[in-house]
Amino acid sequence: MRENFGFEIELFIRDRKNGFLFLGVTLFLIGLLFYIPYQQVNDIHDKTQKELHTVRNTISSFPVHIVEEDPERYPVYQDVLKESQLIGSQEVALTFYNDLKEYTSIGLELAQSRLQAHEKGYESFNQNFFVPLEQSLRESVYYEALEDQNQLIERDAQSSSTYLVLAISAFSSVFFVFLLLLTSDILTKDDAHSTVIQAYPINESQRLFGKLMIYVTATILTIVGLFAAGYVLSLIPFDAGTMDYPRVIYTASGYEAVSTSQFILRTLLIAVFFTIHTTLLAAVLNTLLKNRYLTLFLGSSLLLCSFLFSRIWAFLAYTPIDYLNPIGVLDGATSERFGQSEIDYSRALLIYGGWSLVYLLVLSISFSKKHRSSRMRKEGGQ
Amino acid sequence: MSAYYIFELNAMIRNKKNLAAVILFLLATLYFVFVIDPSYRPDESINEVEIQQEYDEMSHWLENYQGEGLSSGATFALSYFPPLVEINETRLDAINQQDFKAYSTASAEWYRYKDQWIYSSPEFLSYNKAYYGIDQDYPLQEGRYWYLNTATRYSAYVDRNLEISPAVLEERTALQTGARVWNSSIFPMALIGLVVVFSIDIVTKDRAHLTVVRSFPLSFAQKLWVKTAVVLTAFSVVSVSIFAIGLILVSFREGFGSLSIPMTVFNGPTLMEEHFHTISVGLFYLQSIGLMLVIAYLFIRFIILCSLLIKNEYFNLLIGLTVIFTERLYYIRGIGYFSTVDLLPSTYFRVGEVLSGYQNHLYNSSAISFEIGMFSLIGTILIVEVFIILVSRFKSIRAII
Repeated sequence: MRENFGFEIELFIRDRKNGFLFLGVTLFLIGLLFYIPYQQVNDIHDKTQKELHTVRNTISSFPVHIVEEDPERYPVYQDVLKESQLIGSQEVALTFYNDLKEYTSIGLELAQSRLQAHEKGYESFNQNFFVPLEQSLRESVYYEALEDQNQLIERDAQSSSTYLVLAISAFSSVFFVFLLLLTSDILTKDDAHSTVIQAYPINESQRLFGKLMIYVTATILTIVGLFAAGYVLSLIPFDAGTMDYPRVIYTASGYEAVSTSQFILRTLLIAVFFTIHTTLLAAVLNTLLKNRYLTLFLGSSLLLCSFLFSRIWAFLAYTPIDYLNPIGVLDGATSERFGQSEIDYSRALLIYGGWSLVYLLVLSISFSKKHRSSRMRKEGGQ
Repeated sequence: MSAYYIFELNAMIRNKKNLAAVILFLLATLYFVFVIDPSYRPDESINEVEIQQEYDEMSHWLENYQGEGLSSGATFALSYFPPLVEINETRLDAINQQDFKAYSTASAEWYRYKDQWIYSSPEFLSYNKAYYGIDQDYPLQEGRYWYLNTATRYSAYVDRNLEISPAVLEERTALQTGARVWNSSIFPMALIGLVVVFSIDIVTKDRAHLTVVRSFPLSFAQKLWVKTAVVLTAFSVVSVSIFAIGLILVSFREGFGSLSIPMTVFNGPTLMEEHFHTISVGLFYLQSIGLMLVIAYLFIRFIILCSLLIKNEYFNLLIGLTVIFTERLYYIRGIGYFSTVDLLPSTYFRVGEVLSGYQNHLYNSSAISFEIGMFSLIGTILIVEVFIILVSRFKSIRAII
């Protein structure tokens, strides 16, 4: 068993494809260091300007000749005016007084006024013009946490802790494809050197277990190492930021603010579950299809399915198809996009775990079948 | 040479990966034809209810207006409404009599009139609601672009003396649907993806059976040319036939249309009516196919170069798919006027949007056109070719096949 372990580790390291994939992650992390200042990601000044434009367009979408004479016909008109006024004072606090505390407290008021307007039927007028309910909920939790902990809001994403969070969420959307590429030949690559494999006195389930251990440990360790290195590297161009800075996550009881370090811990846990799940999925596809590219295509079509059907078919929330972007599940983007409030963090862990057991069952059935047929062949030969 | 060509083509067809890619592409086409396209609602549709509503609201207000104490809103309405009421009356009559020529003339006028008013006083009026949204940072520009675009198109229908039907006006006929598909950003990307998938193992697969490959009496460069030709053939045949299947299926529903139907092209940089003109759908198809073939050739040669250097098909897949999306890295709305994005080949990967001028609109540029695209892509191809020639001088690299 131990010799086989060593052999598998060497295979993993020598596979040039794996090296390229991790090189890709490195390039992504370095690229993000330049991308954040170039595209001015999360710049609050930009955000306020955009909201100001949007709210002006919203006001002009009310027919002026009616609103002036009979404001009662549009009950949300007053709310929109109030919103415009609040965003205006946010801009003043930011550009004239440079007062981030004031900006935060007005932001909280703004988010709450939007929530009230949503109760009145804000969106019934025309939903293109209004900030969606989910975003208002998220912002109100975020501003509230900032006020409670007496922290200053960040002006843009140029701080190391935010860089780390942004890198995690951006990478998460391609994490599934990344894992598929990494594991698409997890079993089929043995065909290239089957005589060496047969020399080890272990059966197929033991071999799969070994592979699973190596793939999951090596992937998680390398990625954590790379992201940690990226964090250290980002200290050069950016401010350090703080690991207590609030991040909004989605739980069964709604949106909730947690500190950055908590966010990263949860990310780690969900990433481990997700890696185990996807590695086993690739192993199942490998046994069924016996071709690495078909594994890759069929795996990616699951991702395609989630884009096409997850909004329509609610039962997909019981399959892994709705959970292919782990950080999207964690921060609530998935449940918002698919319109299913029950997709959250703890549910995702259950789904990954449960489906991993299903894959194990499929694999053990197929292994025992193979075993029986090969034994029968041997007995028949005697 | 032809024997090697047939040998390679055979290997290409029998490859499971290629077969799976073709099936995936076919399924996507069928999904588009039967699920996405039937629910297509153009932003600028023929909507009798909406016209009637606008007409009723305005004429009702004008009739009941007492004229006591002019508020600023009322003054505005008094100068803005009357011409619009007249135009809408013509439009409604035309719809009732099924006279789509008159409808096109009146609607073109409606778009120009509305655009003029809305763009000059956005604090009172707004464009079609479809152009507004939380993620839409430039709704006025977007609205003006599509209003002028539609006005130009409708006037061109009348000028060309075409037979106008609602399907033509809403761009639903098969050929126009095809043009719309080219105009989406996903279709050209998918085609380039297909080229990448076809070409990733075209060189590296030979390492498994070197003796067979070496038995062909061809030079190293000749072999690479044949491989390029094989991928290009396979790609053209697959994409043209799947596209044709899609066109035929759509034509059962809305008619085939004609190649001489005009479509709007925007030359940029500023949003003014003189910068919009029309070309025929046929010319649009010719230009897009031309540009696409050059892009496909560039990708095949680039991936062959990568295969010679790295010798790993996964690397080819990764680098190929990454290159498709490089435009995202430098894309910022409106920077075209001040920068040289129009010289970068990746700006031209979204073929349809380049040719219809939407790319010009996004970058606020006037230089992103078919000609400059060809210039930029062919320049890049020359660079890649020089690298291939340089690299093939090394014996160790030639040893791959």
